[in-house]
Amino acid sequence: MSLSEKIRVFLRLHAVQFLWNFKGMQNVGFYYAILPALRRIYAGDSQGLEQAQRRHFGFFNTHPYFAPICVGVSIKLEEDLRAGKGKPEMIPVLKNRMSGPLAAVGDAFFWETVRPTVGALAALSVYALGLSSASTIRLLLLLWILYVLPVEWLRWQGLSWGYLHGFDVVKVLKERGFQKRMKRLRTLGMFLLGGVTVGFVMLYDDRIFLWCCRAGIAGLLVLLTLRKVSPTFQLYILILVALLVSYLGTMAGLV
Amino acid sequence: MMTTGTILAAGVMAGATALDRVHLLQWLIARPIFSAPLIGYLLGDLPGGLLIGTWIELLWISVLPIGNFTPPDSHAVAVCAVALFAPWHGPAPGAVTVSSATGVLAVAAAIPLGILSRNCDIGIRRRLAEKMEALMQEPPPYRFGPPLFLALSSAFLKAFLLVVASAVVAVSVRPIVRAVVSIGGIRHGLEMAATWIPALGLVQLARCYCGRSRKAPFFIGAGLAAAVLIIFFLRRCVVGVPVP
Repeated sequence: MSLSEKIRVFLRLHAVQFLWNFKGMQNVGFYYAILPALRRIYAGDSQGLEQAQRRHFGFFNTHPYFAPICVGVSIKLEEDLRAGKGKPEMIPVLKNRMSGPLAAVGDAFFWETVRPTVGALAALSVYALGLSSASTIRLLLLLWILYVLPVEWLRWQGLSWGYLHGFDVVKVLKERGFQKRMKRLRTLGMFLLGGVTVGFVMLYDDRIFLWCCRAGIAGLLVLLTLRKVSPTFQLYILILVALLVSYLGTMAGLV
Repeated sequence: MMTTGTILAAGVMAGATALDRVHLLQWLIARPIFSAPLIGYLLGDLPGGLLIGTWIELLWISVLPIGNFTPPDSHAVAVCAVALFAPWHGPAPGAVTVSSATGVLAVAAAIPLGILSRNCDIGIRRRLAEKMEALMQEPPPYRFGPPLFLALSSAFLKAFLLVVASAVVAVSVRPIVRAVVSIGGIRHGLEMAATWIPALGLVQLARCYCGRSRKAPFFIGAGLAAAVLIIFFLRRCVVGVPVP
């Protein structure tokens, strides 16, 4: 794979979900991303190209940041097939067999850990630095860059890992230690969360009544979350409780 | 200051950032914490955008787009809430400082729009699935231009129209909202709700981090923070040093 082809595939991988649908999920995005490589591999073999296009237009779904790994592996498999190794019907099977575990790792690492952490740090920076501070914007920008750069690195490297290592890419991912990093990040997140929770209860002001209200609200929200009440519904409950507390507090002269 | 031009610019920005949510890049630009300030900036209320973005980010921090689950459209809620909040909050004759109270009202009013947007997404995805089924039967090269146009244009237009409509409605109901929020009891209740919203984010985040299986670090963090705060309170009581 030449550098120019790799760049073209890499750029196209940013649109892997551009036609996400319930039938094929990321199938069109995958097909669009791998097309430059297929055209190179099957140059002068229109029938081979047509069959390859059919193979890569079927159902496909994984985490968008890990899709480059699957594309890299698929390019490698197509090259092997062109060289007379492997069976064509196995390529979609192997591709989809790989996409499931990668989706699980990607969802757990990025969607369930890194993205909420970035969101929480951004929210914390807004609360800590204030709404009118230029530092808040700078910090948000910094957090955004700190998120995007590794993601782009992963997309670029993922393509190379998939292409160079084929199915051994799983070993590469293990070496990268996504699971370990995720566990550490979550533990650190919970530690910080403990501190922020105490700050939330105690820092707004020092009236004991309001401390109790906020501690009670946190407890109520934990209870509602354990009972699987949606956050949207919880917000409306929160607003109603606040209006009620405000009314009762005013009546009793506590607020 | 909101003008027709700024509303249209905010609509275009909302449409463009909406594409990041699913279709292109996935660079978090569509997350409320990043998209709401952009819309707020265009509408002349960057602090309002930051406030709304922070709340909605915290509200749906644990809602994940996994598999074929279509989550509520947090981006639509964020951009619409800012479009509602900016005119309610902005300068006007007789305006009172009711930022957090009007913010809570704006978020509460924008959430149904996010659910509507989610239902639109589901409808479009079903339509795309039908088109895809037909396309898969055809021989390559696959001509996916028309469904792609449908997917991208619907995502863009949905956000654009929601923002423009929200801004127009917000301007027209501004006197009513200001009248409601200027009622002391309601304003105070909404302001109190605004101070409680972070708790929602904290609980959702704990859920994300599998809170029950990581109790120890949580309580260590809480204990340390409580110790630090108690020291500050004691210092304030003894020598009058203010709590940070």
